[in-house]
Amino acid sequence: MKEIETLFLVDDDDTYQYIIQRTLSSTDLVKSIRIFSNGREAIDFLESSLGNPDLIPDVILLDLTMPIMDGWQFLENYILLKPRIGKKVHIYVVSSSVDPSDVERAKNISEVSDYLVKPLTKQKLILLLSSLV
Amino acid sequence: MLSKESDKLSLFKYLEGVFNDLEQQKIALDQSAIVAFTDTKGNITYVNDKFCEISQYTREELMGQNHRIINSGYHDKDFFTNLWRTIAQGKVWSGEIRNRAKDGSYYWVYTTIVPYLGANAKPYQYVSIRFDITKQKNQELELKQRTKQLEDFCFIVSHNLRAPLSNLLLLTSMIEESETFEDQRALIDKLAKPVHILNETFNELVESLQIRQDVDIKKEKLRFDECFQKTMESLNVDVIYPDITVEANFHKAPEIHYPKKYLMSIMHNLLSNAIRYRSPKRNLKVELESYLKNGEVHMKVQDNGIGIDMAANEKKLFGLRKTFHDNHDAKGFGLFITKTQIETMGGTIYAESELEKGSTFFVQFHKNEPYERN
Repeated sequence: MKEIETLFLVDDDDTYQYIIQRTLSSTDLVKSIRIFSNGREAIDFLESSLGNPDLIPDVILLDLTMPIMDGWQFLENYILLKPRIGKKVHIYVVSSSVDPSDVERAKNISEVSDYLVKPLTKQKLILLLSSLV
Repeated sequence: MLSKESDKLSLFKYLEGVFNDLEQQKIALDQSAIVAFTDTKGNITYVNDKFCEISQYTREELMGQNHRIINSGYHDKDFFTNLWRTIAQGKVWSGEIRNRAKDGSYYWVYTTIVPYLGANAKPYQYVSIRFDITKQKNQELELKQRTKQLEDFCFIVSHNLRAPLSNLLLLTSMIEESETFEDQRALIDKLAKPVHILNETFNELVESLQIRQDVDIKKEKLRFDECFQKTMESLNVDVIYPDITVEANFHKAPEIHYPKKYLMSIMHNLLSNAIRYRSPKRNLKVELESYLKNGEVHMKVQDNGIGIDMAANEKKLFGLRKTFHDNHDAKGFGLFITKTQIETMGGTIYAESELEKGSTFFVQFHKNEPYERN
């Protein structure tokens, strides 16, 4: 992987969406970014893209607290979809929660690559993405 | 050996002294501790006055009964298996036990059970010596609950302040790095929202802290129906929502001794939430009821609204305002302040809900008396 083709940001905070989009566009680490405001939107998109590997992201930045479908419910649904995805997807939980029970819970889900506490600075984001390239 | 009368007399005197000491020790023990003897099967053969007093049974009711008569069902089977195994082996057992008195109330005792060993080194009876630790135990449980509340509060604070704060940090560093005026301008525009959120969150947290500190807030005798009428008027329900049916029944518990501001706020928030999350598929019907349970005043507020997925949202329901229905102008439940008010007064609030069926909120206004009734 020379560069990351697609990154999904799943987060209901529009200010944070703006920040990530702007930060990523200032680097050449990611070709395209798709933004979803809750887990439901992201799962629906993944489900409809199952036959189309180009639409499946390489990286998902996932918030936990979201309306309609939160990050935990997204992960439950993702695990069900996973056998049909057929591509390595790196999922990073990016949350404001420092509750140890949240951290522990995320670490126990093998689909989650890491748990990151906000703010996710530009340096941290670059470091994270370049480690995948 | 005991040939002389004087020897017999001195032995008699000695034994008299021993018996006297024993008698005094028994009096001292009975004055301070709850004492019972049982046979090896646990059947009561002796109880002192303190035992009768705390268990509320008469001596006649207790004698010959199995000790299980005061079992509260609190401890699991292993607990008693271990106890019996220990004393049957002739060893001393001690620990904390919750027992149940005749009227169903509970009391905690620190208990030491000592086996009396026969010539074959096997126990032939047991003596149990107990001290009432109900007060300490209740304080301990209350402290645990307080600590839990404090921990939850810390996570709520850190979580809710961190989100806007981290946006501000990121935006600030982006402003510093930006090279054109247009870029700066665009980024500065983005600062307003997180600042506003931060301010609202902060205000709500400060309000909740003020509530927690204000434990001496003035309580007064309040009539549920009067508070309800005022809430209906302040929400202007009849005018704004003519299709809504609100039924109130406060006959079972018409009055409560409580801070007026809190009762009004609790009713207001529960009612306005029911209105906000009504189902578009049917006319909203809300039922309010006050009642007595275990001698304490409760209130329930039941609606036929859209309901809440409790498995997913239980934690968030009483958190700071945050929308979790697909309803973007709603500011979330806002039940954080409601919960804070209720808990500060020693009460509890919880909800039951089913999606598409409706929600019911249960409020217990005061805590149970230290000796909780069954």
